[in-house]
Amino acid sequence: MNALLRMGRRAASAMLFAAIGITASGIATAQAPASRLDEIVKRDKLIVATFNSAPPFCYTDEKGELVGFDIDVARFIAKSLLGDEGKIEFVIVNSEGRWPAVNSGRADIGLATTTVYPDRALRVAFTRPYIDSSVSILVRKDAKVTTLKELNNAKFTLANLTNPQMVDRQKRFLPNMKVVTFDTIASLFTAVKSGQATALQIDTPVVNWYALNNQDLMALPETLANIQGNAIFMKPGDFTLWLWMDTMVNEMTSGSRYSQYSDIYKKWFGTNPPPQRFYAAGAAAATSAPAPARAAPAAPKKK
Amino acid sequence: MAVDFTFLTRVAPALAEGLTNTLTLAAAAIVLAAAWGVPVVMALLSRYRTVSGLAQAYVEVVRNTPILVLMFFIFFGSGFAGYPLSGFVAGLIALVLQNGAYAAEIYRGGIRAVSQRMPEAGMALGLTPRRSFGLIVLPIALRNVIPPLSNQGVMVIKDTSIAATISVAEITFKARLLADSTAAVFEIFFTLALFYLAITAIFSGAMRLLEWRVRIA
Repeated sequence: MNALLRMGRRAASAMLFAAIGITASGIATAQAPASRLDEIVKRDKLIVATFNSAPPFCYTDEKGELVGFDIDVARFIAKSLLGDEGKIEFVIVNSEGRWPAVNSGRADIGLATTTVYPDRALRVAFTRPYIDSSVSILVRKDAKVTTLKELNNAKFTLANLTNPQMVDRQKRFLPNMKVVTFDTIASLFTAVKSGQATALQIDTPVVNWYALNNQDLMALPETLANIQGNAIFMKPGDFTLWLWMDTMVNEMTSGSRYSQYSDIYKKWFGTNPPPQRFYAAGAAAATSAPAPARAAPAAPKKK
Repeated sequence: MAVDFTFLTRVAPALAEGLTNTLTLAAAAIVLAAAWGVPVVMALLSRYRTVSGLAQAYVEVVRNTPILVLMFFIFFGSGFAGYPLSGFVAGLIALVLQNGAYAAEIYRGGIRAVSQRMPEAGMALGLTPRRSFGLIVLPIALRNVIPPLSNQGVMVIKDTSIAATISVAEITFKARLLADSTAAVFEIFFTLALFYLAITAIFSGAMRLLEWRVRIA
């Protein structure tokens, strides 16, 4: 018993020292408000939190390599920031693991097919969107449904990701369906493929990708949302880092890096990105392939 | 760094919604695994080589497979096979299959720990081998297995959290939903840890009490 008490006391004092350590480091950072951006440049490597199961944005290919639109964009950011697209490290996270990955400092930024929502913006800082998104339904062909109305039936099951936006949309558009919930897009897909769920809801480009690559599945023509934006996120409060990243997104989507961004976009979606300027859409169409309507579900290119 | 602990009062009710599922899954898994361990250990100790060999193979396969893989295999596998099991049932089967194997090993250890001399002494006094086992070895062996079984029970309680990945709405599942909506990950998982701590503390306390009540004074 005595030994136990002594151990308890030792543990308590160890915790006290740890607490002092935390406070001390807090004071140190308060004195020198250095930006994470300086740290990235000094470290000469960008650390990015991402998914490994969300094709065509960030997923693992047959060779076991991490590939996708988000991965290429992240590499391009590393190249623009550090001069080499290889100066990057990816941290794999799941749906809810995105936020602590950047807020704890484990990763500098996150690129994980992440849609901007006001409640999320309370906890992480978003740049402007680097790609338009919407939400579509991927359904088993053997369910024989072609509309949301037919799908909204108690005999069908919908697979959701662990985020509240999924629940909100399901309650609004498909309130009669049963629901199963998973933490990765790979599990969502496996649930539908295995028959544990009839349908899943996820970003439109992901749905199109799966529909194209699986003969037994199809995308419903209706969507569950208007145009939304997917953006880069990071720990809030670091204006220097945020400004650089936001500027970078602007440069890619409508500035000096538009052509490189277009190449990446065409590689993964087979179409041109939205034009640099809406009022110059005619000019863009004249020089290249017709510009698609904004957020038109892009037909993913089969690789 | 000032930590505001009032979050506990906000997070705890949301997590408590999953408590019934956690407790039923854990209780069912512990009871069924302890029961399933009995036929397995009987097979393990069987005189017939084929029976004990098969039991040994079963124990090795399920013991050396991560519980997550077992759950995915049963949950998605049952779907592919055309008989989709619910996440709860699939999770329960996985927990019972794995922990039943552990329980069998614990029983085996408990029986082996009783000195061979004791049943021999019983037989010397005229007991049949069967009665000698039932009256002498088993009572000692059962006392031997309480502490390791209690330990295994704690493992089961914690492993129920993995059923969250196959859509069982238990407390870890609720915590993940809440974490994704608020991004207050540390507050939520801290509260979640307290929930598991409370459940396992009550369980191990009860097992300690049982151990004390059946002690050989």
